[in-house]
Formats: sequence, C-alpha cells, structure tokens
Amino acid sequence: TNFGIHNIKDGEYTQTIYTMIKEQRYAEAIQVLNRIIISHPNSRAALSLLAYCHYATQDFASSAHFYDTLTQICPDDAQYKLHHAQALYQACMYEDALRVTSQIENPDLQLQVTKLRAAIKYGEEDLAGAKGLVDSCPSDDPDTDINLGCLLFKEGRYDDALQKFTQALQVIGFDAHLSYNAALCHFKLKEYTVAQKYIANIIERGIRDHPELSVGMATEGIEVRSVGNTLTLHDTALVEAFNLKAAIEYQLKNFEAAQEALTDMPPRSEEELDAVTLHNQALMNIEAKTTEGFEKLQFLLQQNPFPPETFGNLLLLYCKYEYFDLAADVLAENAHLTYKYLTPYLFDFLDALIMQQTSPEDAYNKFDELASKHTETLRKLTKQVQEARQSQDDEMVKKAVTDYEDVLERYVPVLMAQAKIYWDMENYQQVEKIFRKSVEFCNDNDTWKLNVAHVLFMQENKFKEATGFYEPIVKKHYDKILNVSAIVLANLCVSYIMTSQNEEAEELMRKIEKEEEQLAYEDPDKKVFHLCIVNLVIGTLYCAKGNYEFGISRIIRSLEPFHKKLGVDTWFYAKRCFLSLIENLAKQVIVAKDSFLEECVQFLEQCEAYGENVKTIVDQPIEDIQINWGQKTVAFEARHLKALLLRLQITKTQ
Amino acid sequence: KYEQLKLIMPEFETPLPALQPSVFPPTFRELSVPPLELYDLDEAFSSEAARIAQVANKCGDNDLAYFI
Repeated sequence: TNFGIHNIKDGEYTQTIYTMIKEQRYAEAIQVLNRIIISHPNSRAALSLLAYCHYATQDFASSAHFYDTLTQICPDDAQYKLHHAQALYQACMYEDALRVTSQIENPDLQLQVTKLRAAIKYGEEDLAGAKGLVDSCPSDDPDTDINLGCLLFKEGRYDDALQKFTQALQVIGFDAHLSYNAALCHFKLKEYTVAQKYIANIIERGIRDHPELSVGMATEGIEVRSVGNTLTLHDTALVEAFNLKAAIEYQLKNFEAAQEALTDMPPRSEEELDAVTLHNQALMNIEAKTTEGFEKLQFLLQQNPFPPETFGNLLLLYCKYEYFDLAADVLAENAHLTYKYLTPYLFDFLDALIMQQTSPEDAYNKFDELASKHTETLRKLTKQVQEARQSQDDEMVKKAVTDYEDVLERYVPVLMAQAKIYWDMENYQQVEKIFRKSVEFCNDNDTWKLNVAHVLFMQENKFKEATGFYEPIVKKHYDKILNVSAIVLANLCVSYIMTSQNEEAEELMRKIEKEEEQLAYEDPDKKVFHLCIVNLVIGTLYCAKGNYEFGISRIIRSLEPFHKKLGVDTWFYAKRCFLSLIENLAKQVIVAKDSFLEECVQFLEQCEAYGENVKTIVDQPIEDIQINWGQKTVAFEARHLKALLLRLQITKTQ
Repeated sequence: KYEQLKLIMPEFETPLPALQPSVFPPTFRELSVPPLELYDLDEAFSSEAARIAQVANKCGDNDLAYFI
C-alpha cells in the first residue's frame, strides 16, 4: 500500500528509503525520491539513489540520465562518469557510451574503461574493435578468457569458444552466465544433451537461491505477478536459460515442451519482455495465436536491435499463411535488412516463392536453378562420404554426413515448391518426372514419399503404384492408426477399391472405426475426423463415377453425428457431391428414386438444424474485406441446396 | 469456379525452410553494478525547521556566533 509514503517524517528518511532498497521495493523508493527531487533538484543523495534504483530495475536509460546529472554536479568524481557510460551501454546507446568513456582520464579506472569499451564494441558487433581491446587486458584475468570465448563464438568457432568458457569455469566456479555461454556452444554444436545439463543446473540454482522468482508457476496454472526485470533476475541468467531450453526443444520438434519452457520462465508482463522472449513466444505459439504472433514479429522488426531471426521468420510465416503480398511488401520496404539477415539461400527461395504469384514460369526457372545448385553439392558430399568411409576416417564420415543432411534439408523445400507449380496446373506427369530425377537423394525422405504417393494417385491410372507408397506410411503407424493423416488413409482405401482389393479397404476402415470408438471412450470431447474423411473421399469417388446413390449414402454417413462432424472442410466436400448430383439431375443425365431424394432432403434439413453456427469459410488471422457471415453458414447453404432439390422434384412431377 | 466432380485432391506438402528460434548471444563480462552509496538522508531531506533544530542541538554556547 502507498499509505505512509506521502509523508515521511523528519528523522525517518534514511531508515525508510534504505529499507525499501534493501527489500528491493525499488518502485516505491523511486516514487518517494521523485517527490524529494522536486524540492532538492541538486541533491547528490537523491540523484545517486535514483540512478541506483533505476539501474536495479534495469531501466538503464533513466539511470543514465541521473548519472549524467551527477557528473555535472560532481565533475571531479570519475566514478560517476564510468557509471554513466555503463548505464548507456546497458541501454544499448553505444555511441553515447563510447563518447563518455573517452572523457575518463583517471588512471585507476583504465582497466574498467577498457573492459567497458570492449563490451560496447561487442554490442555494436564491431568484433575486430572488441578483440583489440580484449587483447590488451591481462591474460590471467578470467574475464579475458570469457570475452575471448564470446568473440570466438561470433566467428562461428564454437569448439574454441567452449574451451575458453570451460577454462574460466574451472577458475571461478559456478556462474550462471558463464554456464549459459557453455550451454550455448553445445547447442550450436548440436550437442543438445550436454547443453540441457548446463541449463538444468542454471535453473536448479535459480529456483533454490531465488524462490521469489516464481519459476514454473505460470505453467502450473498459478496466477503470478510479474517479478519485473530486476538485477536479481538478470544475475540468475534464467531468462537466457529458458529461452535456450525452448530453442532446443523446438529444434527437436518437441513443440509442447518448447512452449512449456517459455511459460516456466519467471513471469513478467508483456511490456516488460525482452526481444528474444517475445520473438520465441510469437514463433512457438504461432498456430494457436496466429494474429498475436504476427503482431509481435511486426512490432519487433521496428525495434533496435531485434533478434536476427525475426526478419526471415516473419517472411516465411507470411508465405506459410499465403500472405504473399505482405511478404513482398516487407521485403521491399526493408531492402537494407536483406543482406544482413537473410542467407542467400533464404533470399532466393523467398524471392522465387513470391514471384510465383505473378509469374509461375520465372519462379519455376528460379527454383530449377536453386535445385541444380543443391543437387551438385549433394553429389559432391556423397563422394566425400564414400571417400571418408574408404579411408575409415570416422570423424570425417560424421562431418560429411551431417553436411549432406543439412543440404538435403534445404533442398527439399526447393524441390517441393518447384513441383507444386506443376501440381497446381494439374500436370501430374511433369510432377512425377521431377520426382524421378530426385529419387537418388530423397528416397528416404518422408515428404518426398508422401507427395510421390499423391501424384501417382491423382493420375487415376496408377492406383497400384500409389498403394505401394501409401501402404508403408500406414503400416509404420499401424498400432496408432489415427496418427496417420486422414487423407492418406482415405487415399489408400480408394487405391484398394480401384484395384479390386475391397477387403483390404474394409479391414482398414474397421480398424479406424475401432480406434475412433476407443478414443471417444477415453476422451469424449476430442474431435476426430478420420473415418469421416475416409467416407467423404470414397463417397466422392463413387459420385464422380456416377454412382450417386451409393456415393451420397457414404457422404451422409460420414457426417453423423452432425454436431461432431459438421465443419468447414467436411461440409465443403459434402456440398461438392450434392452440387454434382443436382447438376446431373437437372441435365437429366441421371434419374433418382423418390425415396433417395427424400433421404437427401432429410439430410440437408439436419445440416440446416445443426449448421446455424458452422461457418463455410475459415477466419483469416489478417483480414480486411467485409464478409456477410449470415450467408456463409452451413445452415444457409443447406437450405439453398434443399430448395434446388425440391424444385427439381416439382419439375419432375409436373 | 465451375469444375466437374472428381477425386478429392490431397494437399501437396510444401515444407518451408525451417523457422529459427532465437537465443541470447553469449554474455560478455559486465562491470560490477554501480555501488549503493550511503547518505544521511535525514540531514539531506529534512524540512528547514527540523534542520535548524538539529544544528541548534549540536551547538554549544561557544558556537552561538556561528549559528546566527
């Protein structure tokens, strides 16, 4: 409470204010001191304490302001100049900080000045400048080793950097930030288990020494107040450690664990978050909180500095969500960032992807060029692996294999983007040709195998071959069949049916049904659409072949029970079959029994009843056109289809 | 857009280059935090009357001339 703060009695100033500082109630101390400074504008005591309290809450810009005033009041005290420069450095105001350090002439402070100048140069990414200064520091000072380690790290020499850090750890013992540095090197060397050990140690210490930082409480669902950006938080390196933990889990594709690492972090309010945490929150929750994620990344791009990954990630996410125009705008508006933040590969890839919207042909050629560069490298690396194996150089084999995998990981997106251009044109023969050319590199790649299966399937005369690709995917997960995507299961059923293996299709469907029932028993609220989609695909197949009575009955079955199965996608495919039925009835290509049409009408009435709140188009996270949502519901469209069917029946009886 | 009913087209998988998580760069050594300076705040901030009283209390008879 603020009670009593307003009127500190004479004779109680020292006790009251220093107690607040001791108990880390900096905000209150600042409030009191702010009032005092009005009547004592040049009080050294007030200015010094304000500078200190702002520093302790990591409000470095304000702290710098007060140290600046102190240097004017006490021009002979060089310490204040050093603190002024230090606060400016912490506030990332590097130029000002350097300027102030150059005014410090006191010989006793020279080592500290040199260390600070090195840190400023490091912050500015002037690595050569930083190196020069660090080299002039005493070599037996562990600080020197640590700083050299940081510089080696920036050069990508992670092994050498790690050596410096472990050397320093042996001298000074546990230090949260130093342990973080070591963990970071192991992360870059992809030695995730060791990195995780260091992180666990940092977190354990943090929890033990500072239970007030509420580690893990937000994840447990306990409502917690912000712990603020205090020096204590900074000293524990917990924010750094939890972000690294999240990054490791993200690289290992353990996305839930990554999100959890972020919520385990000591809680702060959103405006208190640092740029790295904000970036990772946006990235790791993008699917659940898409709009928010885009807002955060766009906000970060306006900050200085921002995490270097922000630019590439924002562009890739725009493309993922098909906002190619936005991606093009951001790329054009930030031409100055491209060279610094995008690898040539990422730039070329994004450029081609965006170009595809206006000129598929140019984009195709660009992807082709990129693809041949990659295949060339892959061939070279294959040769290297073979040579290393022959000379039995294990170290060399390991390195060549890792390099090969890295290049392959960059090649697959290029290959698929290129193939997608023909896929969109429904030129499946060409897609198949592209895949044949890449078989030597990709035959173990899951995405490649899946797309090959799809492209064989869509040609409608290669169901046997398609089965050969779909089957292993399903067999691999036979114990947990609902982990296989529904469309794969559906297409395998269709492939079975089209090659007269109806029993296999039926067996597979029974298996899916059984697992869905089991799941419904364990978790009644969980929505599953696998059998529904299988029935939709098979129903569509029969309708497309003109067997509407059987096809539509499948479609109807697929959507039961309506309150669970009616959704944007399922309705989209059901509706297509009804439209086709109505079209062929109207053209009198087919005739239908009254009982069948009656069944259709009844089905549409059910859709009307359950589809009041089911939309027929998906909400877009970023949208500026107005949509009449009343007309974009399943109920509205079902009523429309019913009207069409009834009109056909009336015409027939007249 | 009009088109004849045909098989449901599966989604062609087009993976994007991997998104990159962010990490803090390795921590450079920092200077120690500026010290907390100790002041007698009662002397510095007390009201004028209180300060006069304080000084008066410290004064003996011999300081009278100085005090005035």
